[in-house]
Amino acid sequence: MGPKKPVDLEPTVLVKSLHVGFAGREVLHNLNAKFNRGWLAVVLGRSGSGKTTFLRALNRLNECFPRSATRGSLKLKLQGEWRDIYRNAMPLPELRRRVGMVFQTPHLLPGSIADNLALPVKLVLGVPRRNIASRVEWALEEAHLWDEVKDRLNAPAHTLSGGQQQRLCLARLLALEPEILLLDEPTASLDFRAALKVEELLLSLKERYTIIAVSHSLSQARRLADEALIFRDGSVVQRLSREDLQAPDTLQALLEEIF
Amino acid sequence: MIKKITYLAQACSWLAVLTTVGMILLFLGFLGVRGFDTINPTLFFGNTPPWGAIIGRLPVWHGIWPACVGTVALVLLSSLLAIPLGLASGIYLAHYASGAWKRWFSLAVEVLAGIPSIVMGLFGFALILSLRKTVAPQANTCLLLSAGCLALLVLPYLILMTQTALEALPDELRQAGLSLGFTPWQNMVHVLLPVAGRGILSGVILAVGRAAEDTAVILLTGVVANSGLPSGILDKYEALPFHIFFLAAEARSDAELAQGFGAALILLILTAALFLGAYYLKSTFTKTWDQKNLSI
Amino acid sequence: MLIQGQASSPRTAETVLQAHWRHLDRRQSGIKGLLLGATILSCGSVLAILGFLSYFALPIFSEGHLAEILSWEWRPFQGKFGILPMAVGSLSLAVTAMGVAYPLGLGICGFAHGLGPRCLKGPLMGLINFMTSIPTVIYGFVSVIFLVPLVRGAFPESTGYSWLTAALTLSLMILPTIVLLVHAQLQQVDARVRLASAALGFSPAQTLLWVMRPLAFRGLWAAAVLGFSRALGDTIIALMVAGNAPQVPNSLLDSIRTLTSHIALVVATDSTSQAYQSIFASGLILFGVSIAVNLTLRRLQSRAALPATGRHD
Ligand SMILES: Nc1ncnc2c1ncn2[C@@H]1O[C@H](COP(=O)(O)OP(=O)(O)O)[C@@H](O)[C@H]1O
Ligand SMILES: [Mg+2]
Repeated sequence: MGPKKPVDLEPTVLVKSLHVGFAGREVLHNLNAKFNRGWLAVVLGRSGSGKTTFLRALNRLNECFPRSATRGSLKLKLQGEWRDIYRNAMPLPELRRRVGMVFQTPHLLPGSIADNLALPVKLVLGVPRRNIASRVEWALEEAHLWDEVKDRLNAPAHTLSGGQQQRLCLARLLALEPEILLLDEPTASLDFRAALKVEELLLSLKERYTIIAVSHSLSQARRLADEALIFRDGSVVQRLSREDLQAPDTLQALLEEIF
Repeated sequence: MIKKITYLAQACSWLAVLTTVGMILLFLGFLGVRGFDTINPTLFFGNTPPWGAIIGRLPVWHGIWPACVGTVALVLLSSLLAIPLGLASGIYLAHYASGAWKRWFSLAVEVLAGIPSIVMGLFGFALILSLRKTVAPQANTCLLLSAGCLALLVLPYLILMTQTALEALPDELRQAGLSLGFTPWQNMVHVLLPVAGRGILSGVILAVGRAAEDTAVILLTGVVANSGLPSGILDKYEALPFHIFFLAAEARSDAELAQGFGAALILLILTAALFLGAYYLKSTFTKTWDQKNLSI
Repeated sequence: MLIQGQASSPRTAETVLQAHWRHLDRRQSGIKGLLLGATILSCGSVLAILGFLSYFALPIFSEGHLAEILSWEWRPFQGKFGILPMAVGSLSLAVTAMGVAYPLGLGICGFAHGLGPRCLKGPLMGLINFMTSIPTVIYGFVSVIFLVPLVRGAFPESTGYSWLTAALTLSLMILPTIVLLVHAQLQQVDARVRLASAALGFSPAQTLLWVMRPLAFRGLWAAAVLGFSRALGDTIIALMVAGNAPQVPNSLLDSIRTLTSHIALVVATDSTSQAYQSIFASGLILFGVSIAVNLTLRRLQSRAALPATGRHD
């Protein structure tokens, strides 16, 4: 994993007493958390414990679902400025561009591989047509995908393998210059090899971004995490450092807690 | 006992199918046989030279050309009114409306879809009556009025087809765009509408077919038997369905009756072609989705 | 991308940005407003239709003509404007057309779902779908040329323009509505029970008759209601072949007039204000029936509550 960096942490996400509910049923209760740039935080918990809902609170995607309600304070440091995204809001599209999200299954746009990257770059960033191709190439390189797809950029995106699709989704995010990355079990639908590739990619990205990743696997968390948050019934019940995660006895406790 | 009932049911179902298929084939066959020979330039233009009739220089007296032009004008005009309104409303209902408002709007659309076409025509007629009483004593039934009422008639289909096609799209497609920072409208125009396009287009075509075949609405709102080509949207006009209706009651000679068959066949070919187009689009719409879902 | 250009002073950059965001927000609400406007216009037209019909039917009440309109005789030249015969005509025609079409429709659906050979299902449903595209006026036309002389030949005392002729023609027109609705419901049920009942060793015919039929009753009702309302709302077939005599029919060979063709006939011929009042009353009745049908269908649908479709993960 390489030597740990000297700790000079810059906090970028501050969550204070966050409550989220759907149709009157509260899913997240009084949640508090802090995340930093250059730091990969992994969220663990049973299915249904509110991990996805938590990620969607950070880019306000919960609002796409009927009858969602959010309370509490959620501050993000974007472009060097602290903003409470539910109050002193920037427009949702702007927020969502800067807080990118990858879903549990690849959510592709219709069209070719190139379309998947070019459309957002054109619409969201307003990059002029002549610069789009280079931007696409850069993003695919970032996502370690360029060599695999450079000969078939115009093939339909859904002809890629699952792992490639997921990395395409990551490339699509990176092309939009986000500051915070939300990854919702990005490897859940992939086989082991494909998952390893995505993990490798995440590690190479973590210096420059704030990454919050939900994981379904403890061993993955041990490989990736600088810090792990354990969710139960919509709150954080435990916070583990990298060292904690490696210790065998916490491992035992965790296994019982989560699975 | 159970065996006997099963056999009886099978016999009845065969009977029903044979009756229906027999009737339809008889019906179409009758129309085809009697209509086929009548389809020639004379059917359309009578004894007017076709070219002169097509560019509108010479009036057509004994042909269905003016009725064809009238129907096309009617369909175009009503599409022009109904399609933008229908698409916009369908989009709103699928992705913007929620809660009690959405329920009320949907109820209104369903009620609109259930209104018999003669009532739609009566509405147009009432509109003219009240215009005459108030601001425009000269107002009369006309092409524009018919197109407006037909637009109302097909509007609920357009709305429902648009709404259904959009709501049938998987949620992840919508989230993908929004999570990337598309505005809701960008997401609609660049992601959702292109994918739902075929479904919506098939709805549009079906609506056009309905506008082309409806007779009751135009009966009350300005169609006439003999006006020649419509000279403006505030004029009386001829239309194919009405022409057929008229000939069924008033044909005085074999030639006129033959013209009725020809007109009926032309109208049937038109609506059947629209129907087949819509059917094709719709089946490919479903197929593309199945394919994508498999691979995702 | 805006930001980098403006980075000279952070405060002004921020204000510029805020202004830009407000502009974007306004645009989105502008679009939403336009869409809402279109929706209100579309849905408001229902109210407009109801309003106009009511407004023109109003004098019936204010001038005390209600009893006259709701009477059994239509002789405009003698001042008799009763529309009840037409109401009876509409009802009788719709009921008889349903009486022919509904059993046929059920037979066809049964055929397509297990009673007939599988290989014929596709072509049969294709034909039924195609029937929806046949213009009503063409049914009327063929009926006038073909069926009317046939009826006249078989029953010399009749002109051929009769309740019977209209009912037969109309049944053909409403048949696809019935078949397609029942078919859709059967398909839904089929997906749920096919495996289970095949595992119990039922043949397709038995599955249909004893497993699916009871489950599909909502579709059966919906088809009956919708088919009936389509029959009631039809104008052209009744107008072309039913004969249009304003009388309560005594036999299937009598000529009848429906509310719908009454409207068309009066608009074409009469122009006394009372005659007009009678057609607006007819229009209101038809409108009322279509609303009632709608609410019935809604109830049928809402009872058929589907399992929750949301996916939460
Ligand atoms: N859109 C929604 N509407 C209603 N309930 C939801 C919605 N999304 C999630 N939930 C509920 O919130 C709880 C947490 O879900 P989720 O955040 O998806 O859990 P996890 O990702 O940890 O498996 C679940 O009980 C789920 O039913
Ligand atoms: Mg989840």
